[in-house]
Amino acid sequence: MSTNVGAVVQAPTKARTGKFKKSLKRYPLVYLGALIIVIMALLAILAPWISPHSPIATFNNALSEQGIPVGPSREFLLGADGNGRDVLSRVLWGGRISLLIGLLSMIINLVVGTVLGLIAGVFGGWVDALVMRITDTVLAFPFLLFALALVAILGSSLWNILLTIGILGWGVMARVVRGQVLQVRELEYVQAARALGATEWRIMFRIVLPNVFGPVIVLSTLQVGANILAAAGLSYLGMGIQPPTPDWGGMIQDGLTTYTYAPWEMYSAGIALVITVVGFNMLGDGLRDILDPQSATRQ
Amino acid sequence: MSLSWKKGLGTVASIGMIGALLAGCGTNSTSPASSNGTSAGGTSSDNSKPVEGGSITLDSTQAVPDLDPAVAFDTTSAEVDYAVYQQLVTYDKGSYNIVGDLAKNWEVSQDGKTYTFHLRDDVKYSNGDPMVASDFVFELERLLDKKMQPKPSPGSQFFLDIEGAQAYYDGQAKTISGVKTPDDHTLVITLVKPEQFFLKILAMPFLSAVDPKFVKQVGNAKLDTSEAMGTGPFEVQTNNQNEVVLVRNPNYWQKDSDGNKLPYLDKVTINVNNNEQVDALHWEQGQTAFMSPWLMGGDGIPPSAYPTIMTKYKNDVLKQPQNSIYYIGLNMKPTLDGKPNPLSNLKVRQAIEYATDDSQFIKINNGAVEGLNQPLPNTMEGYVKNLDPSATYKYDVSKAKELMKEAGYANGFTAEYWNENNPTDKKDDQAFQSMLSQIGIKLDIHEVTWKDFLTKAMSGTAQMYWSGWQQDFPDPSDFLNTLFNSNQIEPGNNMNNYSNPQVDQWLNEAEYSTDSQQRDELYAKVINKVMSDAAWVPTIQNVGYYTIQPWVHGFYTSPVMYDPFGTIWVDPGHNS
Amino acid sequence: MGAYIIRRIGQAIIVLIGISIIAFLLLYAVPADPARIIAGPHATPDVVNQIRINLGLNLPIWEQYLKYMGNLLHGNLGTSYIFHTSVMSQISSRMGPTAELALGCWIMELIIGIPLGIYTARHANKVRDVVISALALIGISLPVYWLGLLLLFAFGFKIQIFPLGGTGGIYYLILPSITYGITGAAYYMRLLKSTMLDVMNQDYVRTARAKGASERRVIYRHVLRNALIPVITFAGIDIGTLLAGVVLIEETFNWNGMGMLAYQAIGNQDIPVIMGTVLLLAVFVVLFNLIVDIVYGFVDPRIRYD
Repeated sequence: MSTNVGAVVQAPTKARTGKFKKSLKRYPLVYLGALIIVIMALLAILAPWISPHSPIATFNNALSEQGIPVGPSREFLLGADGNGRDVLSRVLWGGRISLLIGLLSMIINLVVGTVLGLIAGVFGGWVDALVMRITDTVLAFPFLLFALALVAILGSSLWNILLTIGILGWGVMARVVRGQVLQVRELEYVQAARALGATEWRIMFRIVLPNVFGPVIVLSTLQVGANILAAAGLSYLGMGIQPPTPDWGGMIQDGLTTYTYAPWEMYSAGIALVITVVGFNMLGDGLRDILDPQSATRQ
Repeated sequence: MSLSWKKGLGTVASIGMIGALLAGCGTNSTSPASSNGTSAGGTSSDNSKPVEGGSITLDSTQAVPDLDPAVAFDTTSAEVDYAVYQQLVTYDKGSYNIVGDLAKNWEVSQDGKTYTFHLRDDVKYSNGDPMVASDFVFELERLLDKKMQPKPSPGSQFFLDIEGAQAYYDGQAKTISGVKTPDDHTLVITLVKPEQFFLKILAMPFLSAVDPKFVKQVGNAKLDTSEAMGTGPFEVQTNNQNEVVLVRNPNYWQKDSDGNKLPYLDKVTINVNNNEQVDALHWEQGQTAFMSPWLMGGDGIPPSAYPTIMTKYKNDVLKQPQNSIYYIGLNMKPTLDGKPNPLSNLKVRQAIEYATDDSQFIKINNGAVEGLNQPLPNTMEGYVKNLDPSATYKYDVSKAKELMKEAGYANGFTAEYWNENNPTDKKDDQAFQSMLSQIGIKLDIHEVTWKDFLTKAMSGTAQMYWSGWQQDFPDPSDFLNTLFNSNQIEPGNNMNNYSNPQVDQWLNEAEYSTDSQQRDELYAKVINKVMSDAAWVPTIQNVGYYTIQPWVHGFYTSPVMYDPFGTIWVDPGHNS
Repeated sequence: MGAYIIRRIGQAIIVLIGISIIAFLLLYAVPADPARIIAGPHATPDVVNQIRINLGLNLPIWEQYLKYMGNLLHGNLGTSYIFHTSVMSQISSRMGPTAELALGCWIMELIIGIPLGIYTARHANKVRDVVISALALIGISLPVYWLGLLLLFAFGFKIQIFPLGGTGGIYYLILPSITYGITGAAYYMRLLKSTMLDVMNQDYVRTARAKGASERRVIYRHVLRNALIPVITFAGIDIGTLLAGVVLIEETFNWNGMGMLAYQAIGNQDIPVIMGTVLLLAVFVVLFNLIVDIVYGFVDPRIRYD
């Protein structure tokens, strides 16, 4: 999943931050994506106050005598899970974990990827070769499988999961940043600045870095969605965070055991997950359209 | 329910701790037949004549880890090995009674130490080689070869009470002095001490008849993975990660009561399908002949399909309480990882017992399991019907809170809890976590892979853990001595560091006693003591479920043995 | 060109060695001792020790690595802790099904993605384009396993059109391929759409139009032909990552491929099998990237990776 992220941002991009405000109105995707994200984030943040029940409380009346969870009802709006807990409350609380993992692991991707990409692009030569071989190595790993193996070995905790996703997922970022740096360095005004005696460091911070922002922002946004999906995938495969904290991937896995007679847990968690990821993908797409008119839909 | 061998990430069954094998205590206890009728399938036509021929297809949630009976030690391997290999003795259909298998009959000496087996003289391996007494000596030597490649037998310890076995094992003797073959059809085994359960050990797959010529020809490695040569009703045509194909052994010796040659089936194909939900749907759609606990990682019916199948196909289901139990171990060490361990306080452990609501476990397992109040299943010899009051705990939160207060933990504490990571255990863990939260104990749950779980628990450092035990052979010593004797702390079976000299003494006395009644009394004392010490919270006893298509006949369940491939037959036209 | 190829191959080898070192260190430096577990609860310490020796676990980690790499050069990936069969034989029996599945998924991505790409390019910015693009966005955002479970339940169980998972021929392949196709086709669709729009603005296309060529002819003769090149490149790289990316699909559809093998091995902590599959899947990714790069180097010498 995350390996495909690169495909969406592969076209070289040029930041035109000046036109940002004006363009915003022309790109409803950005608004819609941001709106979805804000709503999902608010629901997650406000979970302790708005969820009807505790996400870990078990209710005797939520399970039938045969242990079958009750369906959606006035008391349990989205039904109950196999332990007799309220699915709605768990979906709300689950958003916290998913968003947290998505954002924090993206930040690790971002920091590692940008730093290495800049170093490779600016210094060039053997430094570039070394960094790019490391990047190739990281990109070549079967991402989900290796992450799964690592989390299985390290133990599945929130910290280990986001660290694993963060550490394995920076390859695309590094490549994009490096590509951008190389491109910017060849621009005429950079050549001119160099000719006028500007140091490489000055060029990097003053000219290169701002120009890298565009694609990096786009990629980071998309990466949040991809990382949320990856973390949910790990959870679904049994390597999620430790119970009883709910997370959407884990709820889908839990829901699987009651799927044929009580599908609501799986549906609810899955839909929440999809909406959130759609939000980030929309925002990312929209931002790319603004920041990179080249690849935007033609008028 | 949730044995660690249940499944999760395709767990290799058991490896003993829970999924080991076999055998049954030759005595009474609850007859399995009482629980639901043992034979099954198309009941209407069960009286009709068996049909020769045909084939069946089955699903298994995992591949066979070891084909070689000398090294196999898990339920999936045993399922296949029992169809291919045979032992000196076995259990009578659906019961705990030991009967002859490859041995026609046997005598035991007055002192209970010497067993003389008279073997059948009409038995051939599937390649036509005749079976003789020395084949068992050959197999015993393989069992006791600690240098065996690719892996030495995990069951060697069961046979070390044979005279000269220890010396052979240690490499000090070239032969095993306690085993003699006066002629091709007589085998004499002498023990160092009389052992009540020795025949049950012989009924485990370890000491199977194997063809020495064949083994030497293919080598141990192949014997464990792809080649087999036994005297059982089937021979192995294919065994790999995706499927096991068994075909009729043309030289099989046994006949049914009408004199027809067994087995009836020409072929059994077992597909390895890790996803148990899909397996259940395959059965519902009539693609597979039956589901059994041995094929389905312990359940028989996967929890996800249980409510549906029990509603729609109730008449096709057989129930068999199993000699496998689950419990939450409470570590009794005074300190763990350098920190004082509140569980070393008896009152705290008792509070946990009172705070545990067994009915909750039963409910979240859809009523598919039975409750448990002691470290023995109710189907086992030695089970104590009426526990001492001091060894009994009724769900009572206020009493539990009071005990916590008395112990000085009115505000509770945080405890570490370990379990294997799989979906069904997850439910149990969270239920227990919410029970203990009522008395202020906050559980930090660690759900880890099976290997990491065993490593942690067997090192004796897991503060609380969900674990289980399935019989190796149906005798209380296999549960009580293995799990509570202080000499089992070091090998890692006594995982909560239970140590009580009085209990040790009772256990050691019972181990080699030949007086059944005295043994039962000793074991009852052990059970009462262990429970009043609140060493464990016993949670549930597993029940095995078998779903059998109406067109499958001759099926029966057993508290000890695996699926009876030798006697299964199918209606014509149901070949798969 | 020759120097470029040699350089690329050299880089690929360095990457592969890097992968083997990282994977080995992370997987084999595990604290838990597999020997104790493999031996079972009744095993004597002698047995445990013997198993440890059999597995080579008594050696220091670097020696284990060198030994592993030495064996690897002879095509030996070691022996499974649990099943005692060679890892190579386990993997080779799973390679076929995984290749089959990856191919099915890949074809389905193309079948869904390319026509939609052409369609949306031709109708860019009309309502249909917006609707299809929105659906594509949702497609990208779907967790494959979740979608797979929904489809499996709907078309395998409720309406019994397709098998309920399992490994087999085309019939078994359809549902998992559709699942993956839905989540992956959008990448092809977008790429094709944007390159087609690029090409449509090129002079020679305008010329063709001006000369009175039919719209159909312009699209299929001139535009598509040129716009497909980047799509084909992406498809080449994609199939490498697809091989590694089908774990979730294999798990959901019970497909006995390498992903499933690795997944079960992870559950059993059967390290040699995990190591073998990770290594092999990485080799595929590196290999397909290499092939694409080299082919690209031939096709368009200006665009050389690096």
